[in-house]
Amino acid sequence: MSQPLELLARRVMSDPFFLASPLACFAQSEGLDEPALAARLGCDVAVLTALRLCRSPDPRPPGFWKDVQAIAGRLGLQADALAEAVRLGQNLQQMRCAAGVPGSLLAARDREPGDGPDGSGPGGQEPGGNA
Amino acid sequence: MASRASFPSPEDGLALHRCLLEGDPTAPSDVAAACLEPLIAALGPCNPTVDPHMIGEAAEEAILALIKNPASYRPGGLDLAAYLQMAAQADMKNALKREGRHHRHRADWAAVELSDDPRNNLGRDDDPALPLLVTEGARALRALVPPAVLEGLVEAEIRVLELMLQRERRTRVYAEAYGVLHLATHEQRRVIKQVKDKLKKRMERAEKRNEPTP
Repeated sequence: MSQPLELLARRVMSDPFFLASPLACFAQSEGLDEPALAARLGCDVAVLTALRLCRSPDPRPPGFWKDVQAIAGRLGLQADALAEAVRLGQNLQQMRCAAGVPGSLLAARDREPGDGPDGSGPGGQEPGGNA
Repeated sequence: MASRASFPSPEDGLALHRCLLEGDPTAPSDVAAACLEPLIAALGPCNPTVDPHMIGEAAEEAILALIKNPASYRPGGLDLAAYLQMAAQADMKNALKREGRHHRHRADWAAVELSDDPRNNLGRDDDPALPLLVTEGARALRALVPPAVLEGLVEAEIRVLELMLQRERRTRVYAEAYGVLHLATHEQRRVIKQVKDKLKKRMERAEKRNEPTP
């Protein structure tokens, strides 16, 4: 797989549109490196780049299975393993978004009048600090 | 499958676009695999003075935009390859504007950075050691960099400068040299770009100092 494609596949790891995003969450939660992730999905490491650049399956049940089967069939993966990984990854993404965990997508907000110049809050207080 | 350096045929491009419109989950991967490298290769010669890193980003942006919004491309006009080139050029132009840089300004530095002949920019053509230094490659080029450029630079920045002089293009190589390989790719790009911009400014300032006063 080419280097530009690999770079692109890594770039979209933070974009929930792409399969790279839930797969990254899954791999992180399971402590899997690339070879281990490939082994879990039943594919070669070289396939991961193409896999990451696929659209993330529709999380709703009918579309989910259809998408997973289309991806697995096309790239020669085990559909069940892919479904499990994607489902767990998507759930983790939702939980992180809900909890505002760093690395998840956060909405920008307007600066409040009392915010510090660097956005650190009034008086330079750290975000979320209780001092 | 198209070769790495050539775009898919107009017919294949239409088929890829149709798959995107139909929501095929593998279509984004296919489009990227078929178009990214040819797009980068096509943009390079049209923009010889633009940082290759910026060309790569513009190509990525154009392809991601098409993937996310396939309806933005309307078959019947340009073929997919021409459309992507046009979109990437527009992205690049916007990126240059955002940076507040003019193409001409960049061309000045690019000519310095990428010149095969150090005598063109270093004002050292009377140096008897020059012929030897020229053949010594990147280390020799580093030795010819004006001291004012190197002054105060930390070792990691000097390694980045060496890579620039070697015409290295891969962000990963820069990230490794600068010690930011642990960061996410987009963060690596941002950090490396900052360092490269700083070094380019230093070179530009040194070059201006070396210019003969009227």
